[in-house]
Amino acid sequence: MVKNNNKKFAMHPRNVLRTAPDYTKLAIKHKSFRQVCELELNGKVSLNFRNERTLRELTKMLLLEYFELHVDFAPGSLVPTLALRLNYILWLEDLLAPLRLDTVRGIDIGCGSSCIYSLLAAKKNQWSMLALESKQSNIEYARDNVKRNKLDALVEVYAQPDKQSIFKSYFESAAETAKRDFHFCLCNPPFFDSNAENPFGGNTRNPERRPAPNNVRTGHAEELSCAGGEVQFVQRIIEESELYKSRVLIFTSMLGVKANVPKILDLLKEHQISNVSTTEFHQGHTTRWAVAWSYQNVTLKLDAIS
Amino acid sequence: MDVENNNNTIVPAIKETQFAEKRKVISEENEDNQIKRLKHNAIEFTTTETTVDATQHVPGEDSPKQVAQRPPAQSPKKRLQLDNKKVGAHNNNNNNHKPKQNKNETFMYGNYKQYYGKRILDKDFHDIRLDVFATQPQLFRDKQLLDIGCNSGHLSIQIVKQFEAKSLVGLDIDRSLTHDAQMAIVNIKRASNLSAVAAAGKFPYNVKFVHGNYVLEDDVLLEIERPQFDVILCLSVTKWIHLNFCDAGLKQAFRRMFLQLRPGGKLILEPQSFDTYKRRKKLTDKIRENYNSIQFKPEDFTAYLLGAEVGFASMELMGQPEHCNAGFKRPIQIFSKN
Repeated sequence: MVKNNNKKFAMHPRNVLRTAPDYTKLAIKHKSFRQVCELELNGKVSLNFRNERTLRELTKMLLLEYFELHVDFAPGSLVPTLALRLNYILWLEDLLAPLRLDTVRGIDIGCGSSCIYSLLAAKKNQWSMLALESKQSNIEYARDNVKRNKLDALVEVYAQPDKQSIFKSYFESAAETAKRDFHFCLCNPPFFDSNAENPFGGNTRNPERRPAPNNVRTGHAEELSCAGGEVQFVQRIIEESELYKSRVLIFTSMLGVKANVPKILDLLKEHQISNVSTTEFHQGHTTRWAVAWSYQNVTLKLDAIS
Repeated sequence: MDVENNNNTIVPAIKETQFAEKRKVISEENEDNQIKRLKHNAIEFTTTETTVDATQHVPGEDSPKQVAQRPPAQSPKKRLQLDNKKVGAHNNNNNNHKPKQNKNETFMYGNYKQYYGKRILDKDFHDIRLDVFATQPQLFRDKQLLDIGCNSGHLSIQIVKQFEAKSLVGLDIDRSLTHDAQMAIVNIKRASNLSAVAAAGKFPYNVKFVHGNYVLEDDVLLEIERPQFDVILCLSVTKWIHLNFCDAGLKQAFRRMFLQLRPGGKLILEPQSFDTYKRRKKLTDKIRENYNSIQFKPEDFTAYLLGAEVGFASMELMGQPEHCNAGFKRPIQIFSKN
């Protein structure tokens, strides 16, 4: 059982979810969250995480409770887990802190229907965010979410015309704002390879001993997998980053599979990118990884975060 | 009391004329046996008890028992908040038989230690309410029960065993009491020869005790309560919920009981009368405050339970224990859910 206080597997120190929330009090406060809770005999509330509706109501409630964000998710789309998204944002905060910037501008690659990274970044830190998204239904939901939370001034949702491009379409566009530089980009790529035999099979050497996840998988196929999986996706980001070395200060992406981290590091080495750093995000039983690289003179290694 | 052969059912008051003769014998037996909640001097009565056990008392044959000095009628609650002076005096008279550990303790939830006496479960534990229950055994047979305020679990366990209930969950607000109850079950399991696998779902593996407060933090949580029991027992608990959690808390508890019952389910309620609340109002300041604020009286309970806010369909008087202290002669009601 992963303990919260065990430093090795705890969430980021500033993560508001580092101590588990009191679900009973939250169920009393939030009506639609209450409907997905189960009442125990002793008066405490418990949650069945292996249910998509529960996960969706939980994230909605946590966003409302801790950030006053009212977010709607397209039915069937990926339900983000708040703890992980927060860990990513907090890591970026740590990377940017030494620069002491007055305003921060970032790019959210593939923001999804929730646009959660951009909303969190804008609401929590007043960062200016460019949210890139190629799927039309997601774009509509994302724009609604931005509008509902009155963050239009800080978050721009850009409709990617070309699925194959990452930055290209935007930077080549005629928009005035496209001339600006950005301090970082973030990405939560589709982890799995749709070309593989068993995309969601997992890499475990010991399937009998590895416990099943405590939650249920959510999201459309294209949010979860793509041709070549996350390795190929991040490869495209790396290749495009070479074309726009000066436009983005720190390039980052999350990786969902541990085995892919050395592959990406090798790719970066092949492209002769030396200013590189990695980190881990711990949330309960789940660990994710992230990699950062830059072409400019900025420190990416943080001693505090393992 | 011949429990094993179920020969001595105490019938509800209305039928007493038919059993006048039997009752004479029984009451003598009861005095000697020290029915349920009376605490008594173990020294005075052990000899008497063993005599009764050995001879399997037959009506009409009075074995030469020592009819030992019966202590003045005392509910265990009288032992609350005693100062040394009183204790000394009582010890001198040898009238009062409190176990030392209860001295000076405040049982603000009615969470008495040794409430069911010092008996162990196997041997002659007999709470007189079991006789009332025995008039309608079909209420319990094969049913899933909840016992609210189960204390150390003695009565709960006896009910499951005697009436062959399907399962029982006992809830108590006092963690040490539920621990005692759990230990009692563990001991029964150890004493029994069956393995857990073979006896799954059978006594004692179908009994569970939970620590917690039946009254919820907020009424809105009732929205997500679900039917899960066939019978709910709420015996001599309403006074304590009332004194600690006020009218609102008790009303919420009643509503929760209704919601937790399946269609056709029954609530077996043994409420204390209001005149017995007064002597407890000194327990804590909060309880005194609560006592003064009470407007929902026990005589209003039935109407409330049958009314729109709760919704029980009918109430039936199950009976009233006869042969015990006046303090324990509480009517036992059955509320039915459609």
